Amino acid sequence: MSLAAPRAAGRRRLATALIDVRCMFVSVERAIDPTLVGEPVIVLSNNDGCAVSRSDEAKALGVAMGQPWFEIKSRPHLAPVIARSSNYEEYGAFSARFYETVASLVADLECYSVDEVFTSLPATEPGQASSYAAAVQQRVKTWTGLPTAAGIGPTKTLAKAAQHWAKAHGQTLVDITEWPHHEVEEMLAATPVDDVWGVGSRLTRALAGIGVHTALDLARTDPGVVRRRWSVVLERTVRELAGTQCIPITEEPEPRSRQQVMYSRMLGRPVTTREEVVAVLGQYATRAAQRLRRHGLQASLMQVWISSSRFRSVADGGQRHHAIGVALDPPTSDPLALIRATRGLLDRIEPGQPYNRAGILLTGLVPAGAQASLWQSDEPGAHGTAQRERLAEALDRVSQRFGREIIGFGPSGLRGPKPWDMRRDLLSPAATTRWSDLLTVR
Amino acid sequence: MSNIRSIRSSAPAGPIDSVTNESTPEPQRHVLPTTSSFPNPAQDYYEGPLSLDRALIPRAASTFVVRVAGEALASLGIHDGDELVVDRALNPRRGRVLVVIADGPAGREHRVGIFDVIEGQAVLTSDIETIALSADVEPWGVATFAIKHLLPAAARARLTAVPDPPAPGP
Repeated sequence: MSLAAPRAAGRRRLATALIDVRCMFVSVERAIDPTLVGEPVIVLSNNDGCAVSRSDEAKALGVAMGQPWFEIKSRPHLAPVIARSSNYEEYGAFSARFYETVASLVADLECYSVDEVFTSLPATEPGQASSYAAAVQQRVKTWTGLPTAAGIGPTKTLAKAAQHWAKAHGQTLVDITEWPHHEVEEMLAATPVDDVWGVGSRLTRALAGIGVHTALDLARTDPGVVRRRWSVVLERTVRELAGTQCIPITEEPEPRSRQQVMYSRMLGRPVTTREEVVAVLGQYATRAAQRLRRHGLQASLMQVWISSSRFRSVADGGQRHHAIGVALDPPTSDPLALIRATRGLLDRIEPGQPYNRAGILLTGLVPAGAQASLWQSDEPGAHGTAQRERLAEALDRVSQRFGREIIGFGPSGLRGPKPWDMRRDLLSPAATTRWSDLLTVR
Repeated sequence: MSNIRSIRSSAPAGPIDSVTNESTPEPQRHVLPTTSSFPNPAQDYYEGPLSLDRALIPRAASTFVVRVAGEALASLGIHDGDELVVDRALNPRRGRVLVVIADGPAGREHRVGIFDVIEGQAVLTSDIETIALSADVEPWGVATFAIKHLLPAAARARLTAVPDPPAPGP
C-alpha cells in the first residue's frame, strides 16, 4: 500500500480543512478585554482548579497544561501570569460566532468541537485551498477577533495531522496537499501513532505489538488486516492516512453525542447533610431534564451518583461513592420524575461525609413521545403526565426569559448562588451575553 | 369561555378535560389567531412580530453591542450609558462612527469617534480628543445604530423590570 499523492493523483477538486481557534478560552478573554493582549494569560478549570488554556506567553514562562492554580500562584517566576475563571457564557457565544463566520464562506461545515470545524475547500488549482483557508481565517479574525490555525489535507485524518504539525511548528496555515510526496511521508514518520485522530492509548499499545509506532507505519499497514484484527473504524483511519477519503464531512455532530446526556460537576464546597444532597440532586436533575427537552428526547435510564474526595485518607474512612440506576418507564424528560428518581440515592449516603462530586447520566434516549408506556393507564394519574409536561415547558420558558436560577423545585429552587456552586473568583464580565456587563467604549 | 379557548389554541371547543389532557401542540411560529369558521386572510402574508434583532443585527456573527462611557459622542446626541450596535465586518469610511482599540491609561482599550482624513492623515475625532490612526491603533468596528435612552434611569428601571440573568451556577 503506497501513499496516494493527491496532486499526482490528478483530479481531486476538494481538500479537507480543519480550522481551529488558537487557545480558544484565552483568545475569547482577549477579545472582550484588550488589556490582556500580549500578556501571559491562562484560563482556569471549574472551581479555579488548574490551567486549561494558556497563551503563548504563558507557555513560554513555563506554565504547564493542567498545572494547579495554587502552584502557579506560589512560583515567583510565574508572578506575571494573569488568570481568569472559565467564562462559559462567553466561550459559548464566541464559539457560535466562530461557526457562523466560517459558514458565511464555505459550503459545508462540521462543528467538531467548541473551537474546531471541518470543511471542504475547492482545490482544483494549486494554492486554491490555502488561499481560501486564509480568507476564512482573516474573516474570523476581523469579525470575531479570534486567531485561528488551519490544517489542510486530502482527508479529515490528514487534515488533523496537518493541523497538529502546524501547532507543533507555530504555523497558522499548513496545506499538505501542496507538499511533495516524500515530505508528507516524513511528517507522518515523525508523528507518533497515538497522535493520529481516532487512535486511543489502548490501540497504541496493541499497534506497538505489530511494530506500528508512527502514523506512517499505520498508513502502510494492510487495511484488510486492520479490519479483521481490530475494526472497520480503524481500517478507515488507515485508508484516510494513505490519502483515500473515508470519513465524510457531516453537518451534524457524530450521533455518539446523542446517545447520552451527562450532567456531572465538582461541587464548589463539599455538602454533608441529607438536605443539601436533596437540593444538589434536584438542581442537577432539573438541568439534565432541560438538556433532554432541548434535544426533544426522553430517557429510559438514569444513573445518579455522588462521591466524596478521591484523596480522603483511609484513616478518614476513604472515598465514598454511591450510585444508583433507575429505569424510567415510560421514558421521560419530566424534571419532577427525574428528581423523584434521584431520591433513591438518599438511602445510600452517609450524612457527615464531605461529598464533593455528583452527576446524572441519562441513557436509553428516545425521541419525545415515540415510546408508549408499558403500563398505559387510563386512571386519573395519566392526566398528571400531560399537566406535568406543560409545567416543565413553562419552567423552561420562565428560566429562559428570566435567568436560570429564577425558578426551580423545592429546596433547589431558591434564587442566588448556592455554596456548592462553582467557584469562579477571577471571572471576566459576560461582555457579549448580558446587558449589565457590556463592553464599554470611551 | 370555550370560545376564547378555541381562538387561542385553534382547537375545537370541548369539555375542559379534553383540553388539559391533550398532548402539547407543536409550537407554531407566526400564526395569527383564527376563528373556528374562517381562516384569517392575512395568514399568508404574516411574517411574525417586528423583531429589533432582525432589523438592527443582520449579521450576528460580527455584531457587538457596546456601552458608551463618557461624552465622546455628545455632539451626535449620544451620551454616557447609551449603547452602540457595532458591526466588525464593515470597513471604516469618512464620517462613520468607528470603534478602535488604542492605548489608554490602563492599557489597551476601546475608543470611539468619527473616522476622518485630515491632510492625508486618518484620524478619529470626538468631542474630547482627536487620535491619529497610527499603526498601533487597531480598527475594531463601525457603529451602525445607537440605542439612545430617553427615560431617566429610575423610570427606565421601572419599565424594564425584567432582570438580567443572575450569575449562573455550574
